[in-house]
Amino acid sequence: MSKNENDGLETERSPFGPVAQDPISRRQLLKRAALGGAALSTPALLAACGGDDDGEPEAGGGGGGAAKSDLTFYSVTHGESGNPFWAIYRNGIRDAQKVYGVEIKDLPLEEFGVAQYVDLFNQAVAAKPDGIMATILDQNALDQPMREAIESGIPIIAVNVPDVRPLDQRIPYLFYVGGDEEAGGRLTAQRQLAEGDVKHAVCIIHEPGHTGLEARCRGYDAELSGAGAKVDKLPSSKDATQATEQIKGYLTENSDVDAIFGVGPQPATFALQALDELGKKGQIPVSAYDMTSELLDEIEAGNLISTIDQQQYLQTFEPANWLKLHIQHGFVLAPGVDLLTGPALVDKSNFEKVRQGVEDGFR
Amino acid sequence: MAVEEQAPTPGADREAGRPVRGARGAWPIARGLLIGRPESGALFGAAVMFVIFAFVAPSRDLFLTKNNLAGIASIAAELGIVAMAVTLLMIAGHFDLSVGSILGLSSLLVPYLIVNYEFPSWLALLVAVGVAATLGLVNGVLVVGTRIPSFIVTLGTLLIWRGVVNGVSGGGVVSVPRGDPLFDLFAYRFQSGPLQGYQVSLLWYIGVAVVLSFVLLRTRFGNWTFAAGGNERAARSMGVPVDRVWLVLFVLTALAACLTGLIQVGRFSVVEATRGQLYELQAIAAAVIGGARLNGGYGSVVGAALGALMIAMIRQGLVLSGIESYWLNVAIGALIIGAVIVNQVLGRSRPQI
Repeated sequence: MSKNENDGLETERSPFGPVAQDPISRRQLLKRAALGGAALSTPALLAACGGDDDGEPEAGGGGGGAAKSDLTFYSVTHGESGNPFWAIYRNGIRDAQKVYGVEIKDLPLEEFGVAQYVDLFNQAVAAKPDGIMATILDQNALDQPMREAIESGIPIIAVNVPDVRPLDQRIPYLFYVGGDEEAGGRLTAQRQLAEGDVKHAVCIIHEPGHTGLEARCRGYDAELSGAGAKVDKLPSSKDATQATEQIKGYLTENSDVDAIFGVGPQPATFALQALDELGKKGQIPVSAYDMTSELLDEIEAGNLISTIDQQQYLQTFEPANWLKLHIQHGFVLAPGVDLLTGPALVDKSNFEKVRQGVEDGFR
Repeated sequence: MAVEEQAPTPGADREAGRPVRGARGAWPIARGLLIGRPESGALFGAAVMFVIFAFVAPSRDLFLTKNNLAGIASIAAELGIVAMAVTLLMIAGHFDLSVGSILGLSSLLVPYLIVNYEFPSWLALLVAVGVAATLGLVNGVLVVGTRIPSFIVTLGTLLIWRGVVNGVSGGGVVSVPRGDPLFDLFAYRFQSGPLQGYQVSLLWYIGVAVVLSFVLLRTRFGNWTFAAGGNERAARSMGVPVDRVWLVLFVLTALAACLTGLIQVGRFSVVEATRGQLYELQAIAAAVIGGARLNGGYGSVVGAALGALMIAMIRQGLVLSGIESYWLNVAIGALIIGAVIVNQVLGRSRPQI
């Protein structure tokens, strides 16, 4: 790997030094390493094409970018507009189009539902794109339409949510680009254990049944149970007032709770609000998932122990690159190898380094 | 009220706001087709939309592919079946906002009972249909018995049954193994023949359109439906069993929602807690695009089928044209308002009674 690529890598990855030492993430690091330079060199490419390194979201706007390739991809996701998480994903779409000279049509699901999602996916297939990046919202419902699309010659890369079945049963997409949710839960538990002993923890989940969120809870539970803690799961409302009251009620009943994990920015924020109203803010370690500048502020203030970055910007940027490489040169990854963009732990040791990325719309 | 089972006098439906069939103008046939019927606007609109997407739009080459047409048919069928029943209810003067929740609950029961209680699939289907009919009857009884506006009653049942769906499913997904031949009844994709590539739901769609159109236009029950929504008091005084008409139509609407639910269970083999959410508004949208009037007494089954077809075409057509899906609802919203304006204009040129 050239020095140049490392330079580009430096700004993107170094904040997550601690992750590298973490045992559970070694496997995914190996997977990453298996990807070689292509995956890692993208930040360098971005910088090269943008022509300036000030991290403006419009990076690459004036630059020539890659030669136009006439390739059109569709991004079919359950990421509704207006959600800050998916806004970052879309920034990946915006930049990938410039850097790789491809066109990416963004098809987010506007009304959540598996049926609507399958229809949306079929619509994308009917448009005969050169490739599709899609979330595997439900592996059973998508099994047949995706297999047919792949058989008809449209390469698919799974993003954000994988088909979790074994390799010989799963939908034969090229590979998965996204986070490992269960590992994120484990990493959170390990970070909380580093703070001190945990005897009674709670995982607050605002969309019970959501596969990805449940996996975060599962990983957290597994890790803490292994350390001898009791872990409750608290389903909460998505409404701020209701959720805060629910959490307050729970914490009043369970005054021995000594660790809290909100599986997204919302439940973590509600938990902090509840602790504040109970006069206990800062006394119980709270961890979150995903990135917002508010969460970073709470980390800075010492109210939040950690959060997890799954670097969803890469979840469009990388598939765009790989679909193009696959179509033009037939490149593939080793069977069963995925490109894991997370989890990356953010805590008081590194939050300042990622803050700029959050403000610039990369994280 | 004493209910006498007799057809209203022949003129009753006209007095209730039903258009005079076959306006006699200088160009009777074309005029009759284009402006004489509640679905005229939808027919015209659907034709124009088809021509634009199939022959004018830059993506026209993709539009006439089997893949695309089958996709449109599938969306139109699932929505249209519900929209047609909702239209009958609207003609009779009522709303059912709970169709989406009934769709969700009845279809959720199928995988739920099969997976958790090892019901044979035929029994699970029967239970789903039975539950849907019961939920429809509950809506009807509440509306008829309490005289609370159906908008309010079904807003309540929308929330109640959606809550039950969330509770039963734990907010998540319930899936059933694929491959049960019984589901082919609702979701089979033709492998050969003229319908190759299409879903069997297309036949349900056409079948429901034919049957409900016949009922509405050629039977005494159809006359009663127009009469109940056009002028309830007049209908009652003429002996139309208005309450019974409403009960039947609430049950029918719930059964239509259940049918679409079963089609989706067959197609996707999973039911998630949000299944059917917002379907009520789409169904009303299709009904209104198809010429139905919100205050009852006027509307068309075929119009609602065409309304669903237009919504399906616009969804699929815009995606093919590379327009991002953020804009789909903008287009559908504009379509609804545009359709109502067109229907009003056409309505004005209709002979007044």
